[in-house]
Amino acid sequence: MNARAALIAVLLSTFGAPVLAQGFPVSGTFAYSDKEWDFNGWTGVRPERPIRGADVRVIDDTTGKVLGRGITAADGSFTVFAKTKLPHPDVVVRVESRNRERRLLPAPFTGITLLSATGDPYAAFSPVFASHDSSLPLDVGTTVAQSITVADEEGNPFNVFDAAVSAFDYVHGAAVGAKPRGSVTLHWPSFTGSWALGRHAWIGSDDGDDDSVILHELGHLVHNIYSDSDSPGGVHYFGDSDQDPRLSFAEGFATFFGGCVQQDLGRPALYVDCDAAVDTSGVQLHLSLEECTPFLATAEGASDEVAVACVLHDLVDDESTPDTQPGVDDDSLGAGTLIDGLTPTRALWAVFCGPVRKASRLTMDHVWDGWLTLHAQDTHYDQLSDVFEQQRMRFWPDAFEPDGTSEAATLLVPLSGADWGPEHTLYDAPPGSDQIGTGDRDWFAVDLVAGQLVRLETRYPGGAWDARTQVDTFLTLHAPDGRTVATDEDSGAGRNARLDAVVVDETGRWTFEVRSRNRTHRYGRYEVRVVLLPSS
Amino acid sequence: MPRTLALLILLMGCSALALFGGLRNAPAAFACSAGRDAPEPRFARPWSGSRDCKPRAPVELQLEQTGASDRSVVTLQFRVLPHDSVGVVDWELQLPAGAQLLQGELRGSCTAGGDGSGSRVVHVRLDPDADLSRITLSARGALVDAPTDGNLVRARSALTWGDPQAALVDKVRERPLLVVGPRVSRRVAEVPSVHRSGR
Repeated sequence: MNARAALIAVLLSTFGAPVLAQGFPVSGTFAYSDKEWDFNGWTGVRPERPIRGADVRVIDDTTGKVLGRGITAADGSFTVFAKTKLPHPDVVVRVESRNRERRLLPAPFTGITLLSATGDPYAAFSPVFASHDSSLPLDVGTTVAQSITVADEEGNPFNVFDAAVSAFDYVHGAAVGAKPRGSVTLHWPSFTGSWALGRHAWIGSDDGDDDSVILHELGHLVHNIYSDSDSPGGVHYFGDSDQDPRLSFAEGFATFFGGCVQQDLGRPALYVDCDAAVDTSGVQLHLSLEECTPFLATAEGASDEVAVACVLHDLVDDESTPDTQPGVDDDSLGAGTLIDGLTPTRALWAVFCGPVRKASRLTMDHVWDGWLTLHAQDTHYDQLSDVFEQQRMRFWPDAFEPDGTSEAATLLVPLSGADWGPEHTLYDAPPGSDQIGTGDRDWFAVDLVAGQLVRLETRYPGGAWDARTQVDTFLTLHAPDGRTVATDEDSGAGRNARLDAVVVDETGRWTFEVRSRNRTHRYGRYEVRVVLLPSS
Repeated sequence: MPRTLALLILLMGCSALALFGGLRNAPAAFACSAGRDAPEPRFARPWSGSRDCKPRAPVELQLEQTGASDRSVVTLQFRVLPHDSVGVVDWELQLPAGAQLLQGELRGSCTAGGDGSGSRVVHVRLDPDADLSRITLSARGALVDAPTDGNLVRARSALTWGDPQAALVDKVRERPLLVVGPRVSRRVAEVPSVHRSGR
């Protein structure tokens, strides 16, 4: 074969095949009926949105034979070449809730499969085009998948699928730039609520249109795939600042992730869970991540999932973030900031996939430590601490440091009644540096007289009924000669320590130390006092 | 070559074991499936909602079935526990159409850690002919520390009886969702759709 003949053969095999093959191109568009929502619930608007990145099958409706395969584009459109020798086949096209043909997408993408309660994928069908002339192209028009009702509550399976497409669009897109790692499977409707395990997420029968609930569960999958979670799981509530901080981090990250995806779509970062049985309003629970409302007054400390979500959000948002205050950012990590040459989103993602992934008993502590360790050359410490301060997560020494020895103890005066001393923080790091903390012991001293009856105790900041702090204080009392007189872990309210009715048997300067023995509740704010009790 | 031969023998051995094991297990499997023939009373057990782990409003709801009779009467025990951040909540037990309250209360209010937060019991007769029955416990309150708009919180917990598949309804055609399509070689759950020409 000479060179010219070879060139013709190659051209024919490349461009001539569709012409020579028997069949015809089939095109059309798949969309789904969405249920629009905002901070106040369902708006009552039902926009049509494209079914993106979903498998398309062209089928001979008589035999069930698949004539061609493809995948929808970002606008829901598709073109698939149907191969058939029949001159007038009956043709139907279906779109499926999975993306096995994702190799046809412009860039690598995570595999997504959404299954029904019976374990089958969903499909929406075009009309049947009977006796189509296979010498002509076929345009099947637009097919719009509608909602399904589940026990009087409605949801659209293609909305669940589309939320997953949005989630991994964000992960693989310009903001994060992470490569796909295998596949995920979603299940809707779940009759056991919304939850996630490994690479599977079950979406509750009442959450089929609740984008932020779906994205929250997808956040757990992203956490499992790209990092590592130590969450013990279980029931959790917004407005609870006394959670296991491992749970707070996992749930806070999941809510934060959902907000990132919404921002990537040009929407505000919100968490809104609505009643699926109504058409308008119906808010069950909502949160604005930018303002931290309506939980701003209580979302404090690393044991609060709302506080975690809001801090993570503030690390990556800037003036351009779509929220209720366009053009304004409520923290100093603004647009154009680069951490170690990375955008804040990429800087946080590097921490998430690095130190956070490797951490044991993972809490928000590891985000702080990881950021300072990984970006040691360019921490933007002031801006970082500004963000964490907004939710009172203080990973820096208080004004009483250094007070880590009995000699450097802070002198207290015994109080009476309802008075408490100033707030302290259990966290120690070399002064004036941006190095990570290594645990802390705060020493206090009090001058007492033999025969006095005293109580030593800690409490949550400001006497909060809920913790609003992560730390779990432990008290150790020493007599003037240095011997240990008493210790206490949790005799106070909640996680607080209390040594009650201690009889002073020696006049002099008594000392006591406050520290944490709990490895997941190491750091945080507290208040301490010594109370003189009436002697009997 | 000896390594390939050894691998082949190993594979054949595994296959034989699997086949033998499968045959040995067959009667047991048959016995298990035969045991399912005796149907459970219709309202003996609701669907479970116990694994739900999405964020919840700060109101704890406990709702469980503690008894059932073959005359479609179910006994439910429930508790509403608002967290301190909510303070006071109003709660309501919503019954499905055709259901009848035999004993207990359908609505009330309670405060955090105080009045009205103890366990309650209701007896309800459900419609024995209904494909699906759902009882919903809902609570509504406001965040104490957020005295502005948007501070309302609602919590819901539900028990549902019936066939889960019967609950999946094609909203357009008002019929159960088609799971097995005649035009597909593999099962799919058909979603109702509307069509138009062009894009």
